Amino acid sequence: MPANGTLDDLYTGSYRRLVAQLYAVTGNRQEAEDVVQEAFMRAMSRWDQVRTYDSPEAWLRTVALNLARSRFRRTVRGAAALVRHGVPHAEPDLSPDHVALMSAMKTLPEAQREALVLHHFVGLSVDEVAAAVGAPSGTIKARLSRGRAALAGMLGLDEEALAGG
Amino acid sequence: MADWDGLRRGLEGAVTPPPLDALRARRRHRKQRRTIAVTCALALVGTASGMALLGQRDRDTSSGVVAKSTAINRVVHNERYTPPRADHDYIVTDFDFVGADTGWALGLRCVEDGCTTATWRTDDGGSTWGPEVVVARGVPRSSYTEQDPAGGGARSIRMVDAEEGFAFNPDLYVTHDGARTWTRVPQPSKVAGIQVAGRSVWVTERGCPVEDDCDVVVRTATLGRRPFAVADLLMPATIGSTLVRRAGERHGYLLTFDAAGGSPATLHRTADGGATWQPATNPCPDAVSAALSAGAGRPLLLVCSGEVDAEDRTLHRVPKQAFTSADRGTTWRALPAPPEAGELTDLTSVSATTAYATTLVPARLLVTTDGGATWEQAEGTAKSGYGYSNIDVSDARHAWAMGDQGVLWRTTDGTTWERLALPPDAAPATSTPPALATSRVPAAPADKDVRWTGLSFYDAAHGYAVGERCVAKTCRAVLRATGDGGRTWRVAPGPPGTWQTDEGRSANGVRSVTFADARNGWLYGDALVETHDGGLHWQNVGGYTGDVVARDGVVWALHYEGCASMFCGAWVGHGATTGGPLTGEAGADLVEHGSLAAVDATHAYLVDDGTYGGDDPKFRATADGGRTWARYPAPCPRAAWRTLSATAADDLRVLCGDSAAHFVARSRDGGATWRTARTGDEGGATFVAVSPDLAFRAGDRSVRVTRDGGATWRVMPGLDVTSPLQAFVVVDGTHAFALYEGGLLYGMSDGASWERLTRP
Repeated sequence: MPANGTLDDLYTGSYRRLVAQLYAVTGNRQEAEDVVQEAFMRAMSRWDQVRTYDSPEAWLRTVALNLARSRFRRTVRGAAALVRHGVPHAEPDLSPDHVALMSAMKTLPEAQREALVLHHFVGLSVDEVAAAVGAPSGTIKARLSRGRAALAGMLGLDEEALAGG
Repeated sequence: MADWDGLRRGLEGAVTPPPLDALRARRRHRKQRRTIAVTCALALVGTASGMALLGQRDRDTSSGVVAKSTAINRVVHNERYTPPRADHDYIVTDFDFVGADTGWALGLRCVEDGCTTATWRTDDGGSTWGPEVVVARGVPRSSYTEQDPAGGGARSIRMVDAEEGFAFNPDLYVTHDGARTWTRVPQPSKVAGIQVAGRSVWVTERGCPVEDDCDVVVRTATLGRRPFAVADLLMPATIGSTLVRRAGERHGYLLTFDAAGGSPATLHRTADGGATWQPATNPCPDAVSAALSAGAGRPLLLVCSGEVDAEDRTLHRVPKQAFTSADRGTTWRALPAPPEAGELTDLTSVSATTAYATTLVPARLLVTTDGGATWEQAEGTAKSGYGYSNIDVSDARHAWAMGDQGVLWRTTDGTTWERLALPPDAAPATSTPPALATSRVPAAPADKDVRWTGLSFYDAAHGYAVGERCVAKTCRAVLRATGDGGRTWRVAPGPPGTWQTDEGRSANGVRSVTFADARNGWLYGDALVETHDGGLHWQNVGGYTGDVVARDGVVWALHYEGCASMFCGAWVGHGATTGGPLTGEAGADLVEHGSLAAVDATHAYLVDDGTYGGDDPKFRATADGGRTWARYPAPCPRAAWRTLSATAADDLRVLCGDSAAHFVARSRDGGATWRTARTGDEGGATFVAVSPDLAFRAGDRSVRVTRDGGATWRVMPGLDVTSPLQAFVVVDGTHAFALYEGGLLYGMSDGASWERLTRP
């Protein structure tokens, strides 16, 4: 997002993408929407600063990931969100293969899931993933490798196919 | 190839962004509102205490019946949470003590569109509570906690002494007779806080509906004036959360901060009773939450947390900072940071060196005895649960803190804390506690409407009784605990759910109890619920459960399935007593009834009565912790019922019988073979073997004992009952307990005779 973009532009252009990414990380659409909305509300209060970042969307994603990672979010805000929004949204209508992939993702450790989403789903390089989560690149490579191996076993695919996707 | 792109498109296609303006409105409301989660009723030391937190109505869409524990948890969280449509039990939202013994709790309940606020008084430090005194009836429904101009009644209480006091938030009520009667004092706006120093009362009000931006005002009045009147504007404050603290009649502090993080936090002080205010140094201007403790002649203690940048910090990671000032806020000295975990909810200093702090998520009740240099978990308090809210201190030894699940924590020595209960679950106050040293203790008058059915002791002193209280067709479990062998009982927090009776029988009730120790326990019957924090929290982990036995860190539970159709499948689940799933072999044989016993962590046994009482009964034994079970024919194949007891793997006994005779069958080879002998009488079907020689049989009117391995039985003296036996517990060869219908409780402490104990 260019420095002269508006928050409305950023919201229109990235909300769906961010929710999908957080959904893939959390496995919970309601929580994904909640943390992305929270990230946008935080951006509002410091928009003059956020708009100057190279990638405001990356900042939003980092904030949302931090929030999703937070136990506080999961335990307390989740309950509050349920009260605020009522019944959780219906799950998206995914193909059987995508449902299987999401189900398999949910079984992975959080760190592996996060690395896989950022690398394969968001399209970040290993170094960018490492910077985003604050871990060494080698650690990210190990998480990706272990995550892909686990997914391959569960989905009946070879690891290379997962890496290529 | 994994279709990451396709998955991305599928997920994105299902997302419909809400209007950005909706997020802007939510943020605006939040910014106006509060953050009450971090700063609820802050009690200053002594009688000058209170808080001023400003509320903004969020969009509460909740409705319907909500579990009581949820409501209590949210009271602790200070969430803006509207009471359910029909909650016939009060939820305590605040309490206040004026001395070591005397205090009041204030609660709220709502039925349909009207809510009732009431208070209860205690004169024994919170152990028991007197009858409810209604403060206001029929007030509009609003949240449990925050000040709300759309609502009415009171959520907070501040008592000045044994006579004078206030109930407030959002309306204001005054009492001059120790909360026996309350009078509403209409105010131009809603009251968020009350602070008293000497005869001077400060009332913190919000001057406009919560949807609008407006000033917060602090007004003053004179204590005891009749009618109580509030006037004399002291100063306007800013939008946001506002803490008002007093350190005597002349000195006071006003801390404001914007929870949504827009404006810097400010600190003002007065030295002339509020006539004039000057800016003071605020050591943490970025704070979005803070707690301040002030007292006459004591240093200020300030703990704050800031949200400098969400890019690298999330809410739970916000570091706390602590400061102290010995010159009334002119200069501050940084203290080591308090424990990082948990959102701070209250901070109260007792002296220059001792202070308490409470947090939520996780729950911590912290104490410092070196002026804030170090903090430790207060001894005896629970680390589990959602959290603690406000602390109240009457002197260096006596303090209280409110936890979730309706639990009140108390210390009477300034060091160790014990758990009590808040109304309505707390025991009603009685005029004179019963004498405890005599052999026959009169039955307590409390809880006559409870049907006591279950009993468990994990040692000779500590035990639990479970019962069922029904109002109309709605029933709930009632739990009591004793620490002195059943001579006195206190309220223990039980599971929050209710169930409906069906033609006199509970559909989902729990009637039995087993506690392995002070933390790990199970209530069971039509459902199985468990706790691993001494009853603070309960969770439902199973359906119809017959027996629960805990041995050497392992719990064994006899489950039934399909009993509604009269053909039950019985299976034994087992797991660690400290928590985790109960695993086992599901879908076992169809049986009518079983009896379960365990001797250690690996050896357990089950005998059933077959189908239709006597058709092919089986005996099962496991020696590998439940992984495999050996099956043998059950002893007494023609008997109608069997009760199993085991003292060791080579000493298994089954009491079996029918309407004509009772037998004891004994196996010394793990259940493969049995030798059976008649008992010579028909007294009692409840059977507990303690050793190869010593065993008990309990029935409706008597308890028999054998000391020669079953060759002879004799009736034990001291029982004077004609009602049915409900539960029989043997702790060792010397201590045992028998619970009869109506709550009659007898105990044996000498291995020979019974004495009447206090009803639970």
